Amino acid sequence: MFTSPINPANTTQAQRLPGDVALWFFVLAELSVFALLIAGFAVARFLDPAGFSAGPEALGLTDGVTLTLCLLGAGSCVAAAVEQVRGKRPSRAALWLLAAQGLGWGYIVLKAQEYQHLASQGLSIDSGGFFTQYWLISGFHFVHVLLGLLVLLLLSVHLAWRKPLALSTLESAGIYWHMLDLVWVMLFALFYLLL
Amino acid sequence: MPSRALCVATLCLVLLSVLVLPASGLGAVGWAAWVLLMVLGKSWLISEQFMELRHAPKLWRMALLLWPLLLGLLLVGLWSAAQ
Repeated sequence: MFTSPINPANTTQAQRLPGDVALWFFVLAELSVFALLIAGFAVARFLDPAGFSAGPEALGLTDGVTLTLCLLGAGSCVAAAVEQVRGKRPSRAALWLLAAQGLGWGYIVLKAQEYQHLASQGLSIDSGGFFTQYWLISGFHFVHVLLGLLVLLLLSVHLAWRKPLALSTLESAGIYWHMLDLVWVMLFALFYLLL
Repeated sequence: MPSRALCVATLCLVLLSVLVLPASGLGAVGWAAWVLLMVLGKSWLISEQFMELRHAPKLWRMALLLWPLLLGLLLVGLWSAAQ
């Protein structure tokens, strides 16, 4: 009889894929889309260096590091929440999820301020070169972070009301958030470091 | 409290994020290589420790490790060529 190698019931510790397998295919699809966008940015910059030279100067490296710490810190809190649920401590898990949301909203507020700062300088998605790509890619990521925060909010409310929650559900939410971290690590290098 | 492994991974992520700042004085190629190294370090920590892929089937691990590696090489390659 056929048995799936990724079913936790059929696998050893060495072969376990956390979360829902459908979510992993979704993650691969999302990473593929981001890869195309990032590759497009890199090629466009290579073909038109002058159009991209002025762009990164408008972004602050310190802001980039702060945004990175917010997102990665939130990812750590989500991972801690998963550990608490595994240890049958849902109340503590809810607190870690709240901490993750706090850091996630920190990212949203800082990023919104950055967008506002750029818009006030007339650097919009229509500005061409760096800024068209920047608004498109970072905006796409921004919307994903908002969706991730909504998922974390729903899960923390669920845990706070002491409703039963499947571990794979929380693991899947965590994997989605870590995917956002993974993409951001690349975007951070793209927008703030490789000037 | 979170496990020791999670705390260490978080600390490493923070260090890798902040370590880019003092290296900004490197030359163009050195800087690009340093940035790629930091990106790969953080990506490895995220996929292996936070996504817990260290116990996952090889194909999934490779997919998530190749994503930053290939993109990072493309970025740094094109960036260095444009200098």
